[in-house]
Amino acid sequence: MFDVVIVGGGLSGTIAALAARKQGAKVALAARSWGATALSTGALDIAYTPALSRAHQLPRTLAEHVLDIIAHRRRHPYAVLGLERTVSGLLDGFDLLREALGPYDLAPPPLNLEAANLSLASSLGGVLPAASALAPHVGLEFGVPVAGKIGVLSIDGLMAFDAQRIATAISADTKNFDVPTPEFELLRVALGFVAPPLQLARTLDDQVRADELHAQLRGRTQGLKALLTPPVLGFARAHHVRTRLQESLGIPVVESLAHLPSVPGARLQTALTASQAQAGVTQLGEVIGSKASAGKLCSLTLAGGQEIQAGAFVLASGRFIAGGVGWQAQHCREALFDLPVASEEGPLEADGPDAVTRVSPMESHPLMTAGVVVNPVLQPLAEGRVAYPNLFAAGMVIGGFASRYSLCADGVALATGLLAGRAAVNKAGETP
Amino acid sequence: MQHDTDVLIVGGGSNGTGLLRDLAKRGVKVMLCEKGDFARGATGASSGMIHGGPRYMLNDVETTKHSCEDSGYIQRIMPHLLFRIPFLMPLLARPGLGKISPTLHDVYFTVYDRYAAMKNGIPHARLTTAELLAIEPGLAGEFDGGVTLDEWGIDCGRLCLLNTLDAIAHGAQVETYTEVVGLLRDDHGTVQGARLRRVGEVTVREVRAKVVVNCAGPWAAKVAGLAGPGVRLRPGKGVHLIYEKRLTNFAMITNAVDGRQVFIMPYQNETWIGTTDDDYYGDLDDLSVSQDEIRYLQEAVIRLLPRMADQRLINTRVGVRNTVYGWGQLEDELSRRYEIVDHKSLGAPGLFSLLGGKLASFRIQAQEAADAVCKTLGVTARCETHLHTVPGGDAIPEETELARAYGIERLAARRVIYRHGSLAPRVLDVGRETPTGFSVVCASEPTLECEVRYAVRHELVTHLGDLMTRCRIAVGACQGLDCGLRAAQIFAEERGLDPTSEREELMDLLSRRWRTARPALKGSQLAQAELLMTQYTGLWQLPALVPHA
Repeated sequence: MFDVVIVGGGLSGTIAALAARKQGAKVALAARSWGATALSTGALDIAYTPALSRAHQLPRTLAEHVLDIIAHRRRHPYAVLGLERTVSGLLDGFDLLREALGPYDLAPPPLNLEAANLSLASSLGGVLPAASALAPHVGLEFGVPVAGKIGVLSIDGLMAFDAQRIATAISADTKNFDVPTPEFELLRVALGFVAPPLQLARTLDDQVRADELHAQLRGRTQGLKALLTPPVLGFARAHHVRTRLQESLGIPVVESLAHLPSVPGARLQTALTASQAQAGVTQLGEVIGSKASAGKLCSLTLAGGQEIQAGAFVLASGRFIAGGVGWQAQHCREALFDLPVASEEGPLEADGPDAVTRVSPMESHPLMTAGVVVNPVLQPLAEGRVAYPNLFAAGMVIGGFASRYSLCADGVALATGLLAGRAAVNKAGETP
Repeated sequence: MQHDTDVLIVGGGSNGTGLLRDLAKRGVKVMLCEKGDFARGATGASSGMIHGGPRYMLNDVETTKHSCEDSGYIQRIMPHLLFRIPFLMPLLARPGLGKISPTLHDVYFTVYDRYAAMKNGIPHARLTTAELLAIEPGLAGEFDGGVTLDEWGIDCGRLCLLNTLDAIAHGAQVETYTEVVGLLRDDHGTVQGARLRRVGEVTVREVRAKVVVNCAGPWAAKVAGLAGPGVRLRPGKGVHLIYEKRLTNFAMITNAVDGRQVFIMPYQNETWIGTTDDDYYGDLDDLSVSQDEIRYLQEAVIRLLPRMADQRLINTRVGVRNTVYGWGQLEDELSRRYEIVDHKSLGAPGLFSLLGGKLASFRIQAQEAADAVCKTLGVTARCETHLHTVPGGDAIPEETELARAYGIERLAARRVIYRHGSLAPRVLDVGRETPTGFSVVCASEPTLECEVRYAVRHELVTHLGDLMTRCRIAVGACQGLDCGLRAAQIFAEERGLDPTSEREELMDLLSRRWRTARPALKGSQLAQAELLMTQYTGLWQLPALVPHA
């Protein structure tokens, strides 16, 4: 018998588990496999609304973006939680994340909601707004004047990372910021093989291969202010690989954000999973069913048939990528408890996907914002009523916002994860 | 009067490009314009089968004969591009009919075998129920055995491309993304050429030609209408569902709820289900697939193969048949015959329209149209399209040797050979130019970087999206998630595009995919859609958001 059982081991599930452990609860976490967290770019997105940015010349702070979301998008989790709970959830959740990632050298710098979004380099070229980022990706910002030349590294054999394109695209984007175009110097190295990003990162964990990289760069970075690299500098020993390179070159080495398949995402998920164990969370496998009695949820059934009882539960099963929400036959529903889902525009009726998507793929699609509806204490609702008093939801399984690309998904995961974890402990304590 | 060309062909499908090749090989000065890319209409949306059409034996045996005969020629001129599609026709037990049904089918296909022999078809075989279930496990229902038959598949986009490249080698001119906006007429109404406009541009230019041939497929009535009324089609909308991988051993014929025949067919790396055939009155440039059409096809197939219910539907294909007009028949009963209309009788001499027809007989259709055009021009040269192969069709390299010579996987070698035939070494030589030249661009089709480069350089590619029909970029299970980005980068490198134009090209490719995939976004395909959004909108801000605030 646990106090709290969490379904889902991504960012929101991990934060919920850690928050519950902080309060002394006995916690288990059931995870089927990696989900959307493992596809993270390395950025930590909390709030960014293009409309607000367009309407004002001056940079807006993160707090202003959060307020803008609350004011204009009433089904967004931030709006459901309200300003006060959102902000405290974000701040405490972010601290918990920093603490969890510290031992793995991925911790982002402290969060300041009074600061503007950072503008970071994307591996596809161009500059992206992000509230913060994992340690390897911070330290080189393009929204402010950059003094001195920046080296951009490309590795022969690593496909889809082109230093020339990245430099050109950053230059084009910085014109929008009204800051001088940064100067770049392109550096190429050849490690003698063709590899996808994850394989290359693992290869560079090997000291001998990392030294080859150092040797080829030595003496070529004089006069550079910093080196921007592909996000592949090591996997398990990423911190070691990068700091050694920094020391040997004598300049900051910063990885760009990553596209898929993402090394930063894989590093993040690996660290989160390790932090669960570190914090004393019992790790379980896939959940396939549940049992309720007298309107309360009693237990979850694991794939092996084992039943796990707890006082309260947190549903952090993600959206489509992780399989927390799905559309089979005629209905789009939450997958484990068969809860109804809604988009940012309202309940999702069974009209077919073309009725809830738009013609251009890059517009916002109501379907892509589908998830369960929650009340301000994060209890999922069914037919307008609380589904189970001892069930709470966190992360992308909650609807009302688009998945990662809405540039707030990490913030939602942190705030709802933290608040759901705490609420579950309180609820578990209530029951005799 | 000065003419820019003898013949101007309108339309880059199998009819237009087939005619282009035919006329060019006869030494006629010929030009083709196409408002999009090759095979964007009925040709590209077809099932890609060079099939004899056993179904047509019931009410149109001439079409069956023609198709089989011409299939034989098509195999000889583009041997690398054809692949055998063995078909199964499971015979559902019908109470009361006893053993009559299998016997009837046996007799029917014995007749078909005579035609099928013309296209090197293997004669049909009658299977017992045990044999049927042994070779295609997973069939549901009570059967009275089954029948096999043998058909051929082809890559429709490359068929049109190879026709065109061969024609260019014989002096033809080709302009894609160029639309006909009007016809040039003299005082007597004689057609003397056309007004053309590049897509996205405003300037219109005149091309003077002795003869204009309308091969615009379902748009033929519109193009002919520029010269006045008189051409009428009965367009039939057809939908295919595309599943992520090959899911059956054989292609199969089954029946939908209304008794119509529906195919389930492993095609290249996917499985196709189709098709529907419904009269279409809407906008030919704005086709979409309805939930009813999807459910109609899925119902038919799931009844035969229940496990199809769990498979991932990745996209749909929708097109409109250019069926010749007929009143008072059901869509399926309409003849697939073709017609060559000389508009002289309609007051517009100098204009011809090639209407209707089938992919499987595109060559003979083109030959007859070329004969009619040549008669008007006074050209006596005879058709040679059946005598010589298209580029790459003269020999088929050995896959193991090729793989060894270039250090690539055998499967990748096989696919290059499939698409390029004897030109495969020329394609692979491009791989030696870059460190990643032999890297595979996509997880769902082993297309190599060098093949993409080769296509961009030598295969009349204007936009990134054209690579879908050149080397299957964004066609397979990834729908552009893997290969769209890499292809965009290669395309941008080859063309020297700036990052903004590169994003626009990729955006255009993804939009084309999304348009037809959208109605089918269910099950695990939703995860794929979410990944795509994450990758491109999240990381590349497509379309560009304000980058910073």
